[in-house]
Amino acid sequence: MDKRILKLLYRSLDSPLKKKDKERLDKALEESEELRHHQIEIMSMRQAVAESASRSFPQGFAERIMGKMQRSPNAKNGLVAQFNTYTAVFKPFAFATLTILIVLIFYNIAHDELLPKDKIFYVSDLMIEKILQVPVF
Amino acid sequence: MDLTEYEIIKRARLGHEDAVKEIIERHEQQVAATVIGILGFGPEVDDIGQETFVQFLRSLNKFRGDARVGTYLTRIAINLSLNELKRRKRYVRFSGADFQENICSYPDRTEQEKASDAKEMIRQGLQKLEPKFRTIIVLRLINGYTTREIAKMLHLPQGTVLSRLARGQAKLKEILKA
Repeated sequence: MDKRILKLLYRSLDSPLKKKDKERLDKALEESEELRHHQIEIMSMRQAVAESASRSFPQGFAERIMGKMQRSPNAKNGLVAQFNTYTAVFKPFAFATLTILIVLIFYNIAHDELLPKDKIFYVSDLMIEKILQVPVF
Repeated sequence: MDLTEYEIIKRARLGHEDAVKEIIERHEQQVAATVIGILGFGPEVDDIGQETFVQFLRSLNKFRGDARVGTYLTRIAINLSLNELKRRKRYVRFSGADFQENICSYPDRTEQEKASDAKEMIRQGLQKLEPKFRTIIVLRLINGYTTREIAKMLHLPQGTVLSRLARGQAKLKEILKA
């Protein structure tokens, strides 16, 4: 049997064929008894496969699932969902704050006016003395 | 109860047990056909079926309704069944055990079912197919999805689905004739 025709035969059962292909298949079916026999065989096999399906679980299936759900409540998933919600809410704020902070740092470094670098990175002896004079120490 | 799918989901989200039960009862057949079709009969089939629904019910809040509940459940069932097949393969590799023995131990098979030799032959024939062919045959011939739906579900081009379907049927025909 021509493999291409056979392919068309299978395809015709699951998807519409192009007009040209359909005509080719129809012609081949008309001419070949073997192909017609093959078509009948495939169609009855498909029918048998559909009918062979077992479509039920052992009795009490729904109850077993309900029991399973109750025995192991989804606490972990609940916490994860809660965490994800918080993350989603706070992420934009955190991102905006970080951006502002970075901009401020660069602006400050570039202009050196608002907070001179000395003051950021250096604590004078005088300041330490002043701290030590606080009654707590 | 005669509620639409949307109403049932809404009620299930609010924790109504009757709605949860309704979801299970409405889709049990479809999930059973998928899981048993891919895995064959075996003691783990019931667990996989349960896990399919448990996973769906636990992610109910994420369910946006862009696919039908049945399709969503079928996707979960396929993934879990294919994972089970991988687990079996690993198990067989290490222990040399044969999972065919489970075919006879499924607890809920009626005498009528056992007596139906033709059906049994087809089920066993299906189990002899490679999972990539078996999955598509189950989805198309047993669950009745279109090849376009299957392609979407399995993230495959429709042409691949059609060609696997054809090859799978040809192989199954050979197996059944042997």
